[in-house]
Amino acid sequence: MAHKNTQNNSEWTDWHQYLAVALVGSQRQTPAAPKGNSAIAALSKQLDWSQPESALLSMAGIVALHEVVGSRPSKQTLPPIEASAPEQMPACNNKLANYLEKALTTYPILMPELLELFIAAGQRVPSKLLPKLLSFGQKRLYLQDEILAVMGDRGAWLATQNPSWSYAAISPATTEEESKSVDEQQALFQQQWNEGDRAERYAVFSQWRSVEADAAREALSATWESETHTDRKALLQRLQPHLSMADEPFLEATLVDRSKGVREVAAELLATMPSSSLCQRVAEHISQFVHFHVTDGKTENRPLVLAVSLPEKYDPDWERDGISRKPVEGLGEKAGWLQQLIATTPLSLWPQDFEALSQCLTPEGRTDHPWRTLMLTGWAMAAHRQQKTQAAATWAYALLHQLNIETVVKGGLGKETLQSLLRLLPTEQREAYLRAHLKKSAQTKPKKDADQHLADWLRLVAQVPQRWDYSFSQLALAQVMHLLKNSDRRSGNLYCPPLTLAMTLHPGLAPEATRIITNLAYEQSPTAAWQRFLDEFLPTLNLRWDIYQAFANSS
Amino acid sequence: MTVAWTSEQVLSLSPDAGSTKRGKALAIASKWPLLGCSNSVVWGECKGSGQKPYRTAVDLGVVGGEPAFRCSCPSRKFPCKHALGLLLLLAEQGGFASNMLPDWVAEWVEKRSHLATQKQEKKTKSAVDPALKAEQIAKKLEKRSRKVEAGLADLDQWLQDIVRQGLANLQTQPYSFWDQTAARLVDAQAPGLANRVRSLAGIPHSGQGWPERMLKALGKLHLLVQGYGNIDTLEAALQAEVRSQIGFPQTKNDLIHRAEHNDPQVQNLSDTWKVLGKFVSEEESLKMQRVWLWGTQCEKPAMVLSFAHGRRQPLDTSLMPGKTFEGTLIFYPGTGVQRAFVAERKATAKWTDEAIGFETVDSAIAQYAKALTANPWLSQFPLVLNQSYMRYHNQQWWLQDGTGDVLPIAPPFSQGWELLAMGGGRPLTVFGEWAGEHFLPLSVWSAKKFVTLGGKS
Repeated sequence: MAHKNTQNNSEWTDWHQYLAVALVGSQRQTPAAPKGNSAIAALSKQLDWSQPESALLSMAGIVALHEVVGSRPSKQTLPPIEASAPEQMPACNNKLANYLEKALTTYPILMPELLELFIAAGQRVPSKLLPKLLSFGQKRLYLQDEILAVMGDRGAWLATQNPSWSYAAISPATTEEESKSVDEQQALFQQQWNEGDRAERYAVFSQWRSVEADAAREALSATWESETHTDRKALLQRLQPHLSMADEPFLEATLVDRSKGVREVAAELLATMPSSSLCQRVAEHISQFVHFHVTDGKTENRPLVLAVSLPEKYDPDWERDGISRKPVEGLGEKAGWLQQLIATTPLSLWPQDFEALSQCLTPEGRTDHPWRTLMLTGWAMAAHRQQKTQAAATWAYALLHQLNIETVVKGGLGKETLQSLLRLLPTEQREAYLRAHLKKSAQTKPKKDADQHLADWLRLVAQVPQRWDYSFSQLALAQVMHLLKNSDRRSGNLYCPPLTLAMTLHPGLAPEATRIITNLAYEQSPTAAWQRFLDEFLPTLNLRWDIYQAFANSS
Repeated sequence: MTVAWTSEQVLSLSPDAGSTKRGKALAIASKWPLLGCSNSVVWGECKGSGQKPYRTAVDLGVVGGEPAFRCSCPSRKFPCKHALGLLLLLAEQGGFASNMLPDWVAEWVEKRSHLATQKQEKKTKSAVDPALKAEQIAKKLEKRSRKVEAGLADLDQWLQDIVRQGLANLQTQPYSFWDQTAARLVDAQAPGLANRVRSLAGIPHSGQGWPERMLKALGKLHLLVQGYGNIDTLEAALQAEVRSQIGFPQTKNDLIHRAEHNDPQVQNLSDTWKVLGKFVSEEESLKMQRVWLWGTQCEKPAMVLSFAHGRRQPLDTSLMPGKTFEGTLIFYPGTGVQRAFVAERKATAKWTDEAIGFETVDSAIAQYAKALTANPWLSQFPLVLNQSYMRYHNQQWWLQDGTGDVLPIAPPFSQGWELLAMGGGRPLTVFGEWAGEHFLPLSVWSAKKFVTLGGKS
């Protein structure tokens, strides 16, 4: 209860006697008029106690009223609260605040871009939206830096009030006395790491890694033996964002962990670093099975020859290096092993003359090399794994251009591999590839296949993390319209993700897209699937355009 | 534009969550090839799935007070998503280019003013011979009183039986035990008492200390029954309060009539009224809304209560928190914090200064006690705290004043962190309802701006 009563104690006792009577029933125990001279007793004495039930009820009513009327507020000794520092940045205007709230509640996909725009405009989020913003960032580590940049002093203050938002609770000291505060920060990490619950420890580990990767790994190494296998796996996965060769000895040791899940994560992490012992071990094996050599031709262009021999038996050592004994879907057992070995081999080990490679795998006028699909798939996987190396970008370009990897997309290679290769390219190369790829798709026959290619192409456009320029966006929109005009009930599977497409196209396209699509809607009504697409695509693109304009007008 | 709308105000008009969502999705300028506004009307054409765009118009209620909506879409929601989208866009953009009214808007506006005239005429016509009417009313009242008396005797017996048999039995009673008694009270035309009985049903399952809470609630109910038994000995205002607690109906027309004839029981106040905040609850098909007003000259609070049944009937939306209006309220007879309705209103304006309230929790509670003495059955007390800090402690939100006194915040309140963020460790002015045990914040002044909080249950 929030209120202390001013009545004295004797009356409380009386009241509890009556309460006891009411609980068992007045038929068992008849209540009598109260004694004493307190206010309640005096009032209650005047009641007619020959009718005990009625008198008791009246008295209860009097007590209830007396209690609230006579109550006083209670004091709470709460720890003092310091006021937040005055804001340095200006708050955004109402319009932008509305957009931000909209994004936080219904369009989370807009948030990364919106935060960027806030940062560029040098504006901060208004106080009322800070709780939503800080909660939004709790599980989105990749946005926390941006959130910190727009939350203002009030945000930093608020974060100190709620442990769930500790990621944003930056102490103002860090900027001034950097050297001292690093130690403090270190001690704080160590303490949270030792004492936190599971979620907190995961969070602090990720944060620690981003500040001091080695110290964090050492902390993990120190408690490794006492962690559960679930935690070992989850924490190991959190090494990935700041992985370096300094982590190698630790990972190498965990390759023999007692949990299979942990071993797999360790092997996968090591496979992303071509200079790791794991990749080097695989590289030693690979030459037994795959061999390129140059023929003794007479001409200057001496062609490459690829000789492949499948492993006869499974080498038990491979298990440790993440080469699974289980068959790979769509491949024979031995071919599966080989593909995994190629996917783990450093790309720098292969011949880099891509024209010659292309000739070797797809000789003009003759059938493809029998192991072409397997080789290309293995290389694509290796490029994806080794994406931090220079070789990966070179190979991605080669696979997409000279080696025509899209022709093997159906045989064993997932469509997402194409995406991940495209991501490895620099921006302008992506656009060039997609423009060329589109021309090829358009030439495909029959029409049904051409439409399918177009839908795949749009998906690629949508899923590459990039904002396309205006003219390329127009090109993409034209493809959407082409599919839309030709759509019928049978083409329901020509699906393109509306939200991601609306996020990657140039926002300035919104008015044009609205006009084109609206005019079309007057002419013919699209199928239900396309209607759903348009219902999500247009509002999102339009909203982005509105937001860009609002920012342009705000400064 | 004379009246600036906020998104919150617009969304408070929404009939349901679905409409809110769809309305928001339509609040994008590019969805509206045509937009326009005059002093009192906004309109637009919105692209829909059909060939023709939907034509949406909203009368902002600058003159008549209440907003009105019109849309050519087939939706039965009122207002529909288009009207909401249009208003949201207006709120976001602050205004559209002023324009001549297109024909379809002009026609609608004219029709509305025509209807209003007709209504007024009908009203004047229907005023029949007052003497004859008074006689009919007296007869009706007489009949009703007899019914209520019988119902109350029945209720008193029921209350005494509970005490005789012991409260301990109540925990095993089914809901029908309470509901049947409540239904009998409805038959006896005492709906106010019926609601009180229904609200008892939850107490035996409310955890530790329930017998004490139950006995006190039964005691207060008993006092009400007793009060009605001795109604002739009470002061006139308290008589009216007891009647209204029991559920005697009071029509607005009757009250207007009585106010016009200077009935001392019916107070009639012209003032500049500030709309402090509102609380909305929704149970099954019944929506209830309490709007709290403050008279700047008379320094008196007023509660405007309204109900809406079913899904389609909207709640009255004419009183928007954060606005002030000049007008006349007629108060329902009673004591303490009184219920009222708006009899006449003139210009509406945005309200710029902060509300004046209590500096300390102590003085606020003292005022509450005073109101309670005047009306023992008072349930919500409107409270403005000027120097308060939001605090979170022991899994509970508190509003603390400068002296360290606290009010516990009602557990359903979900915007504690927002309030804390707006305060930033500095004092806030907060308005809300104090119900004896918990405080429910409804509005706040943050950085000199008025902000409504989600006053929904």
